[in-house]
Amino acid sequence: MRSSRRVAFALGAAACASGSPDTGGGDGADKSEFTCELGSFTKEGGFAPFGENAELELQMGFQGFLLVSAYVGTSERDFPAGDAAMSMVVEGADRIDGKQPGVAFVDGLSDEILIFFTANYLSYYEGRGADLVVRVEDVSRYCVVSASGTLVDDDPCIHTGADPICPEDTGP
Amino acid sequence: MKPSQLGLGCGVAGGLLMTLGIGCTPDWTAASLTPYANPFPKDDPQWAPQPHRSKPQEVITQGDRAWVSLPGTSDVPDDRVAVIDLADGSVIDRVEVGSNPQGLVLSPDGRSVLVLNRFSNWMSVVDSESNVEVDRIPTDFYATEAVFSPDGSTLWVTNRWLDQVRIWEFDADGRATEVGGVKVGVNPRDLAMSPDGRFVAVANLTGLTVSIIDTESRDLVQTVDLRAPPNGLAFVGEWLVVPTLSASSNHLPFAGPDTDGDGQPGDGTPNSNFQDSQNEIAVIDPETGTVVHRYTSDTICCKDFRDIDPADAALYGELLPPADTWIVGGALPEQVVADGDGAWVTYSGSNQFQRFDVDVTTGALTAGKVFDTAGHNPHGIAVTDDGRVVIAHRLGETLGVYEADGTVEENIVVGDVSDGDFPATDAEIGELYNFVTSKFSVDGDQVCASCHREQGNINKVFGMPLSVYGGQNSRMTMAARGAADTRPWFFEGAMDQTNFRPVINEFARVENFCCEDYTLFPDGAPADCASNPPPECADEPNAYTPDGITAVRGSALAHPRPTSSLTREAFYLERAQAVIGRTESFGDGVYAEDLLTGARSPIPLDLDGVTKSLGVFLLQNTALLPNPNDPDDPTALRGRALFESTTSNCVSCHPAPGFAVSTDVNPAGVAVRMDPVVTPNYSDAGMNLDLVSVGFQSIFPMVEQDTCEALCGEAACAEDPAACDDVRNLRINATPLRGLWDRAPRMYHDGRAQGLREAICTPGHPALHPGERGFNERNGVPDTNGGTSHLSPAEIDDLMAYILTL
Repeated sequence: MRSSRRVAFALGAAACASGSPDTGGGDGADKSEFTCELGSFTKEGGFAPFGENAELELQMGFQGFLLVSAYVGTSERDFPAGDAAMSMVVEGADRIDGKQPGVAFVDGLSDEILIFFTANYLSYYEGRGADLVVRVEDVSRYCVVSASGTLVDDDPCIHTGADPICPEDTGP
Repeated sequence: MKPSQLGLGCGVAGGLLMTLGIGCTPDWTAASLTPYANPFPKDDPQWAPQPHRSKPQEVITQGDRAWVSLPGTSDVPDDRVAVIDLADGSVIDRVEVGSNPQGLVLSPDGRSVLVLNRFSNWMSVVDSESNVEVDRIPTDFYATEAVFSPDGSTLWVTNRWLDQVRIWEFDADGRATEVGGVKVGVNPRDLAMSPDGRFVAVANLTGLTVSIIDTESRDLVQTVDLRAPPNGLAFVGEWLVVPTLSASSNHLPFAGPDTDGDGQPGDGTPNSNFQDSQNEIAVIDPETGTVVHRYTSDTICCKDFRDIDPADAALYGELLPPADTWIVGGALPEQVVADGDGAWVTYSGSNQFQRFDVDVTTGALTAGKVFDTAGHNPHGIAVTDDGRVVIAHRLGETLGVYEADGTVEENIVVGDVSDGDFPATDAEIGELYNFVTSKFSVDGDQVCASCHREQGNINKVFGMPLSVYGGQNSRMTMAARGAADTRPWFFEGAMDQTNFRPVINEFARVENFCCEDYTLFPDGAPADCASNPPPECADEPNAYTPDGITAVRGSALAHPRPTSSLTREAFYLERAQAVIGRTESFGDGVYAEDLLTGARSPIPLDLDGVTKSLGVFLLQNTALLPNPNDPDDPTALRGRALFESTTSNCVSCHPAPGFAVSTDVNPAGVAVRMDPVVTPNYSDAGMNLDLVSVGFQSIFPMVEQDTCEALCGEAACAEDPAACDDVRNLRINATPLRGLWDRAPRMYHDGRAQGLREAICTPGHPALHPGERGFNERNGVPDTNGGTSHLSPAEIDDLMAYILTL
């Protein structure tokens, strides 16, 4: 990980975005469920839960990989770390699945969780609706949380190498 | 592990005709090695039962009869040789021999077939008429391949365990006596006898050398360093033809470390990343041990956007191999067989084969047409008396019989397809990808198995492109074995079985596909690009890269796109359909799971699906070769006590059963990664060359590496992001020790230790041999890789003996 964030984090009243009554797949039946939220995070603004029809920012990262990122917040401030499983269904496109083992939590806020697209190009996804589900679990606890939103690309630059490449920097 | 005692004596079929044999040796007991246990648990959601496979490997012929060894895998060995009637394409018999049979050789009189059983301590003598194992000739374990002298009096046998060629002499009655051996390079496999009987040439597969032995003096007279695996060899006239790979290691010809020992920096071509790994054939003069010709891939230029054009002076194109050497038409040249004044080569990584004519005067090759095989992963090859070419398809479980013009005459099932044709599971899809990768690459050149030979490592370091100092550093080639011992395992703990996509990415980067080429469409391709491609997709040449990482446009030497596929997904799905016959996973180990309902469904075999399939394959198979070293040997027992002692403290980082700790697999149940226990790989300027790049970290959150800001503060790092690169560290998993006995000598993540002794000894330790260096220290502090400085040389030997039993 790129270092666990050691920032103070005050989670709001855990507004229960999680909590499908179902224990989900896997071995969730043996574990206790806790509530969690999906959202974004900035140093300036802290954790911001996704609202209805959230904007999910598409990022073009290293070597052209496309991804969206999200954070999980929970009032379970003693939750130290968990394995994350992610699933995103994009309108009119295939489902995207991923796992991120060992996601660290500090004061109820996860490290960044990345969901990768490996099938298509950025403009193909831009503007499409997406349903995102994240499940985080350790040996005794789990939460499942979902969010819906639209995939957007507000960043004119791409980040495929060490330095950003912006439209004015390059051309045919 | 201890050999299992089968309780069989020699001469199992006494009374039958024995043209070769040793008779009964009273103090010998037949034994076969036990495969390693696989810790990948059956209750893991990705575990699935796997079909039994026989993995047909080597083939020999006599008249209309062919014999094919069926070794199985190192996890589930087979113990049979298939006998085939080439006249009607039928399998006459499957003869039970020893475990993991590999090499086959006909006796000089043609009445017996000798079978080399790697996991058993005997050679089988099979009567070529009755198809019965009529005798067993005791050997050490890991007798692998064999060749007779022209007069049939002497048999030369490679032994992978001993790194020797063992020599047998046969008397007039055909009785064998083992008379000695010759030490050769690391992991000898194939060998060949010169037509005049003067030389035996030995291919040291992971040691990257060819040994030439004078048969009269029985001395090693030449060692040819190919700096790449010699995958097979055959004499054509006086020339030795060796299918191999490129000697490059992704260090530019004029920069980076001197890994080839020529006194100059660098050792590669101008190509970068995997593009610097090509398929080659070397022609050696055995008399002098010189490589007189070395041919490379016909597609070295210019398909992938990183391929350098030889006319591109700005990118040192003139340093590419000469264009008239670009004649090798397939991926992973594997085995070779002489055929008159020519030779046939199988390409195991691209399901192809090709004939070359050999100029008997100069040794120069002229390439013939490249043919596709009728089965996956062609390996052993033979030519019949009437000129047909016979090829064992190792993954396809079949034997192909071809006319000289490439026409498929027969494709005979000789292995095991009782549970379905290969691939039948998601793990087998991954296995196919591992060994036939080039079918899923944009230029058809690279294969996972090229560097991970038999899933082990090769004795070679590479410049690691995903690091901060890509062209300068060195990283050891990792073995793709024992994956379940340490999860996550890729990049020393940065990636697990589901997400090592940046590695697979190297075979088909998005920059090569028009609609995903962000250099062509910096503000985004049209949203309907894939269904309604814009003119640029037909008109604009591919991007190029000056550094192997960043793709840019504008080179006057840019080349057409390597594929008409508009997206990588389309490319993968087209290839999957063509190669596998399906575009989705089976769903038994690679699937999408609905996180709300738990429902599972197969996933497309795009980059993600193929990557995950390969991950499951690595987990389902340890691929560790069964260990022939005896753990109950007194030396090893003494070494075990040292290993487990509090003073050496080896067990802290290397506890059983995997003899490693990783983030996911460790007895304490806690995440474990650690700073380097030995001095990091520093540049001359003191920079830590182990550091991975910012871009890599940005998409791989499992990487643990010190940040500049944490150590030097934001102000200093804003001014110079490399301000703290001399003190930053990458934290990694401990190296697993299981199977270390079969590892190529170089050790540590950067390959600096030239063997186990150098890895465990402190600097100046009296146990070191002349010329050896001890690396068990970090920045001048000894014993950081276990307490060994207090051990005597004899105790170091004991400790090494134990480690080699793990």
